[in-house]
Amino acid sequence: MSTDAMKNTSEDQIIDTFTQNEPLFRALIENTSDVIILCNIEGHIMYANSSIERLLGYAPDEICTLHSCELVHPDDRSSTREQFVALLEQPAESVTIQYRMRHKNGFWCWVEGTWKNLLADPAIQALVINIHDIADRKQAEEHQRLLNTISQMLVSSLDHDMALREIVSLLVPSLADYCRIAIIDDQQQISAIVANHIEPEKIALVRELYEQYKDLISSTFGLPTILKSGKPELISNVTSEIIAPVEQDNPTVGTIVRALGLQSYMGVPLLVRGKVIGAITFSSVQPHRYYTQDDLVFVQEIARRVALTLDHIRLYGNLQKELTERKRTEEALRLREEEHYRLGAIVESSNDAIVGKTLQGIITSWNQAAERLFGYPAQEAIGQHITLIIPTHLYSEEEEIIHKLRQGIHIKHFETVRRRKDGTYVEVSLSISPIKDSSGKIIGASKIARDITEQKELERRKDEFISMASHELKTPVTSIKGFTQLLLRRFQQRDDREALHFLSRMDAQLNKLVKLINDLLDISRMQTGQLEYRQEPFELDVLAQEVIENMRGMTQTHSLILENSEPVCVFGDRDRIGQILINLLTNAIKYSPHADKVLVQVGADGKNAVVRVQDFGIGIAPAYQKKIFERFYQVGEPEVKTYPGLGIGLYISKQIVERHHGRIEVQSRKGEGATFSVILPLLHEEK
Amino acid sequence: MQDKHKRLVVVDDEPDILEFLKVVLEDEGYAVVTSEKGEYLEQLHDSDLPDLILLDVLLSGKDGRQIAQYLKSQAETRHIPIIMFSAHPGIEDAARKAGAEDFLSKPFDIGDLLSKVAMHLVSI
Repeated sequence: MSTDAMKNTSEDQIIDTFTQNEPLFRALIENTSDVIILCNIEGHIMYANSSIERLLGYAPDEICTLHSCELVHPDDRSSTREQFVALLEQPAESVTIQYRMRHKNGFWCWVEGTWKNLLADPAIQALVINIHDIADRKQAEEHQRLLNTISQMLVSSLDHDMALREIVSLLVPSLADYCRIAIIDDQQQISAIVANHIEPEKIALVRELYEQYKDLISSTFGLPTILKSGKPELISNVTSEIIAPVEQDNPTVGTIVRALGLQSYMGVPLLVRGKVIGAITFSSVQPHRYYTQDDLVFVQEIARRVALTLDHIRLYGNLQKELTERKRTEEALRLREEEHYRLGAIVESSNDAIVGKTLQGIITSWNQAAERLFGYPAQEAIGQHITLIIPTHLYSEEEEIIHKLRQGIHIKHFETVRRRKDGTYVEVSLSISPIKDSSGKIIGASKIARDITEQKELERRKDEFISMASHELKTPVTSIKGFTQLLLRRFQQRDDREALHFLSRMDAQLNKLVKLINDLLDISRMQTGQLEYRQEPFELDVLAQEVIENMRGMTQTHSLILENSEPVCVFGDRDRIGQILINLLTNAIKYSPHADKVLVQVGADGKNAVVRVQDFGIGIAPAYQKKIFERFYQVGEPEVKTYPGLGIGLYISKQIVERHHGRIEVQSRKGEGATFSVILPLLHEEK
Repeated sequence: MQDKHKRLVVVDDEPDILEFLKVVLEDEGYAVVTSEKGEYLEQLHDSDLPDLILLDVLLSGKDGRQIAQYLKSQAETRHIPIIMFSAHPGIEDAARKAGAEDFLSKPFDIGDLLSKVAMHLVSI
């Protein structure tokens, strides 16, 4: 071998290799998976390798009849054109652009084309265009964009209803022709939000499908299945084979599915901590859109975000509710506390002693007034038995009080005596109420004790005054009566009728005066307990007879008739009972000015002796029938007020009767007279 | 008619009562001595002892019951019947305990008075 030959060899070898390997290179270009296109300066496609068919569906010779512009998406044409023109100015330079190219079947594919300007290259004299299918990439980008938008929507709205509506609108038609988000609420109700891109007639079918057949749509796929299983579903290509079993179960469903032209379907659950709270389904009726596993992954991500947001919204809602509840409880507690303090303040500031005790009599609370009244500070009193302040001789009172309390009876204005710490006694008026717990059970008692020493003192002085007054009144009356009777005797001797008459009137009136004074005296003595009662058996009928006879002389207008009389024997103070009868008869006459009789009955009624005095006068309305027996009470009605009287007669009578262990009653109606009954225990013969 | 020359002593701090009592009793035929003061009874001498004493319980400054007790404790005056009277009806028991044979509550009826006086004079 010569050196020259050797030198030539490398250059030649390259050319030779190239010339010999042209078929090799051609084969490489032909068979690479990359798409290679050669364009001329005008943009016509002169050559495309076979991979073009895979990408765009055209056979190489088919595409060579086309201008590259025709293949570019209208929206991308201006930008590609710009780039193209710019590239022409730059030999040997290249540019990479993303644009959409039309598939032979009509749909658009995203591609990334790298264009190299090799027009100047004699070997090539063309623009070499290298194209990658970036559909996947583009889809991923698109998905990401969608996810971001969806996240944005979810985050910016607390109204999840609205957010979901926005989402489904977003996904249709880009991702599906029919998108449905179903949510299960707390009451297990399914609500759904739907967006669709289907012709109206078809939509009616879909509605029908869901409304009428929602439980039956399918046992193999569909919303109910997802809700139950919690698993995603993907039917990439809805074929006849898949529809067949559905059609078998339910021909109508099958028909609808066919009529819709359902091509592809996928559905994913909405999961929150493993629990299914809903699902999203995507249906595509567009030709050539088949959902892939990637798509499923993508919508799972959507579902994850939606579920998360829904969960957050729900949690937020629950939190709000809880906070509101808590605030309400706190408020209620605060009010209750305030109430408590307020009541406490009222109790403390009261002038009356307020003492709380258990049913066993242990003191549980003791206010300031109690400290002042009884002399024990609260610490000393609380925990002690209530007998601390009860005089020994009144212990039985406490038992009675407890007994009444257990029955739920309130005790009002019970006058009694209590003992102070220093041993002195204090007169009090007690009001005692039971304390109940929240279930109504009686757990203690609240006693209010009012110091009535002053009140009592005043009463005593009043009574003493009345006593003194009556005494003082009697003295001049004695003189007057004395002289009157003296004159009567003198005039009797002289037989001066008129004078006698006048004088006897005077005497009668003086008797009335004496009676009034005596009644006053009686009342005061009853209060101070000084009224004495004799105890002897006597015949009530005889007494009644006597009283009637005595009184007959005193009334010109009425006949006093003893209708019925049985011998009855009673035990007690004859004069006092007589006083009652006089009282009743006086009243009967007084309050029946238009009548002419008063009826009296004496008899036995079971174990009791009864005296009845009946008049036919103005009567007493039921409302007053209890009150007339009260001290100093007089019926306030104007008509009744015109009758004279102090209002003490019946009170005195009642006191006397009760001292005799009997009772006094009235039966009457306004305008129909009254019947007073005095009921006394019969004296048994054995006594 | 009883022995009209019986001597009565009436003691009451109210002069009007004394006056009419005197007239009434004298009309009845009794010899009457009246006094407003209780001390009179404490200074009675044998020579002027009455046959009956009418005595008010409350005499200004003196308690009629004490006087009655005193009279009943003295041999000379023990036998003389005492009728006490008062406007306080409740005082009757106390008066009888002090020794009074009878009691009248004021204002009294003259008829009652005369019959009681007559009754106790008989029992001498």
